[in-house]
Amino acid sequence: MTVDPLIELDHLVRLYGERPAVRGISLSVPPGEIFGLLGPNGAGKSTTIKMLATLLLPSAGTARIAGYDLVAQANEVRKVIGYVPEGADLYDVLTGEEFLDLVRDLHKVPPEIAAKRRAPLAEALELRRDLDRPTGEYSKGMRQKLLVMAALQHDPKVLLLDEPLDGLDVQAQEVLKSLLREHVAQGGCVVYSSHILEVVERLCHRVAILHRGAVAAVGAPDELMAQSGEESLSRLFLKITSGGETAQ
Amino acid sequence: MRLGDSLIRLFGADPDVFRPVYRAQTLILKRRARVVQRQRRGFWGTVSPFTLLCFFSGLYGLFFITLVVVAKSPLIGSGLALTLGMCFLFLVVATDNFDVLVNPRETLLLAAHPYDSRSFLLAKLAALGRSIGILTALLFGPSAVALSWAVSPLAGPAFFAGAAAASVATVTGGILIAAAIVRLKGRSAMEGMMPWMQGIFQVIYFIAIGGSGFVRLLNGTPEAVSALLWAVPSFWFLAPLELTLRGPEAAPLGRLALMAATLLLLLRVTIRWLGAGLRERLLEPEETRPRAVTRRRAAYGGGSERSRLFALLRIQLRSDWRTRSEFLLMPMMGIFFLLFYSTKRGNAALSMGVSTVFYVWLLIVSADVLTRSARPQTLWCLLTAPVDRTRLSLETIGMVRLFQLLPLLATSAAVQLWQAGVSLTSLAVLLQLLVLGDFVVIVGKAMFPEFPFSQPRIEGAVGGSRIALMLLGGLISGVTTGLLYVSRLFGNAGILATIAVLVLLRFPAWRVARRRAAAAAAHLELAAAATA
Repeated sequence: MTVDPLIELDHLVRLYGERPAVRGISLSVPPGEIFGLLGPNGAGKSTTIKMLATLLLPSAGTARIAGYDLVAQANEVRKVIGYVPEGADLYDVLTGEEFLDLVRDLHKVPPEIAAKRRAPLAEALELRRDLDRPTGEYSKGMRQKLLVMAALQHDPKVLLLDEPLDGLDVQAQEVLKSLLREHVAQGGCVVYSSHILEVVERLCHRVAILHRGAVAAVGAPDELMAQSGEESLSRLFLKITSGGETAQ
Repeated sequence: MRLGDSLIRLFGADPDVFRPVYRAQTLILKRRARVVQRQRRGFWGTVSPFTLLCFFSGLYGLFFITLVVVAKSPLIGSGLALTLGMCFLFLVVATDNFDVLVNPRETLLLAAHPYDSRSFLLAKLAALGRSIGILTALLFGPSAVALSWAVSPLAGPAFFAGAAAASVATVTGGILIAAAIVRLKGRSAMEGMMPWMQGIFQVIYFIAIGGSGFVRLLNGTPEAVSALLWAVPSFWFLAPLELTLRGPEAAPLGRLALMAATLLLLLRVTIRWLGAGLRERLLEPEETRPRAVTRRRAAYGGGSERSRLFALLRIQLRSDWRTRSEFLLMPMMGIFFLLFYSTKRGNAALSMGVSTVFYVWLLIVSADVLTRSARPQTLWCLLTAPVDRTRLSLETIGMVRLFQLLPLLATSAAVQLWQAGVSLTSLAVLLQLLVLGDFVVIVGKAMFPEFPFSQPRIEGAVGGSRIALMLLGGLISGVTTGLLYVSRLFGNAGILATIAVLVLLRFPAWRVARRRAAAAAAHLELAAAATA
């Protein structure tokens, strides 16, 4: 029996003016998978994630998340995704609790259910005591933890993470990794964009290496290394992104 | 179903989206007001920024009563009140409300959650409307009551109807202007304008206090009033008041048409702009700005050491809009005071004395302003630069000379030449002011020797020693003003003698300033991140 993928991209393109940032990416991510997006700066990782998060409209191509069309059913897509943006500024004058309440209400999650989900997350991420403080007083790591909580509290099927470990201490990184594993074990999927190869190699079931807006290689890290004859993902990454070779 | 939900649905919005967004935006508007500077400690620290904004609005509203009451024609005072009130609302919209309405960072934060654009926008507009409605009532309500009492029962409501329309026009106009600035110059340009916004805010405050004099001036010139009613758009919004006072005459009806057309045009353009794919456009990456890069390169690279130090200070000041606002406000306030007192020709000696006190006082305080920072963490840029810190610290003297002394001196020169004409005495007085100004700037640096944006000033605490220094600054300004007054009693000889003394005193003052600046610079270290 084949399982329907939670994410399907078909020749997805995004232009910034005349300049292409993403050039015809086609991918699919099934339930139960952590999928890594790798690439150097400007490879199109964040643009791809932003399109999946409905923040940017594709210039061409189609995409579906949990069966919903990314453009025509954007709001349905938003109901099933959780998104952790890179470098997002929070509302400085709102407390962490108030921000989480805002997100909770947008997702129409009953307060008592949200509270049940929020408490263990806050405890695990060590943010419980800071939730009543204005986020303007948060450190970078605390802001990131709050964004992770906001992305998880409505129990989304699909998690879209753009450099999620940025600013997190080692303990919080481990907590987040275990949360992601737990999430996919329950039938969800994760798209994980990062340029930290070691983490992606250990955490992700499959990866796509993006180069100049296109998929240069896709597969399980072990398979990719075996196919290319490289002994590490970082060497393969360097080979692809510096030599311009496409190993689709 | 709640009554409110039906109303929200009537506008085509979803209450489930509208309510949380409205709640959050109301909180944001309540807790943030950049146009007013708030103390973080003491009683004022417990007051929310929006409450402070309301306090100022109420204060202006009360001042506006005097404008309405002293005017021979209610149209003059009401028109001036309306103009000042609209300026105030414009500042509020451009500095804070625009950010609430259009915030690309917020899009990154919220746009991936379920929402519909209509509910989202309506919730924001409702939150803004509530905030602006309260400010409008406080600004124009007292004048409306005064008009009803002093002129006719209908005059007050008619004035308030015009004021409400003016508020809507101001808000929509403010949004459009802010949007145009962001579109043409980027979001950082809005922060660059903050000093000017706060300067205008201060000037409105002073005009509101002293505006009755202007009204009295206009009382005797009915032709000027007639011209104002056509020439100044804010006066068009007096049309409802005019109609209640004069009946349906051609002129007020014409201005009513102008008012309606302005309002409709602004509303139409703003609504179209808001609906035109704003979310998508604002998420696109900003273009790099070569100007800033060039400046930074100039700071580290070529040019004389002095110009490099100066460029470094400018970069630092540009990155801290609060300090920059305060610093640039000084000459704006100074120019206002110098011009304001120079027009009081009844007592020339008094006006000259008051002007000089302000001149000296503001120059000293400017040196103090440069020792504060709202963003001390940005100090790393200065601390890691391969420069002599004492020289860098002393370079603030150059900044005060350029941005404070020069405009104040130019204004003093204009006032002096306007009042006394070109004569040897006038030139001697100007030379005296120049030498005095330069001496005072150096004394200011000696009094506030800390490296620019130094650590002890970050926490916003005004300690006893700081107050003592500020009082000492006041004492110095008083004494020097007295000396100048006495010296001028002896004619040109007295003035020249003062110049000679000040030139001689400059050398020991410079040595003290240098020694104290070097000691302060030696103890400088990177400050912790502030929450300003």
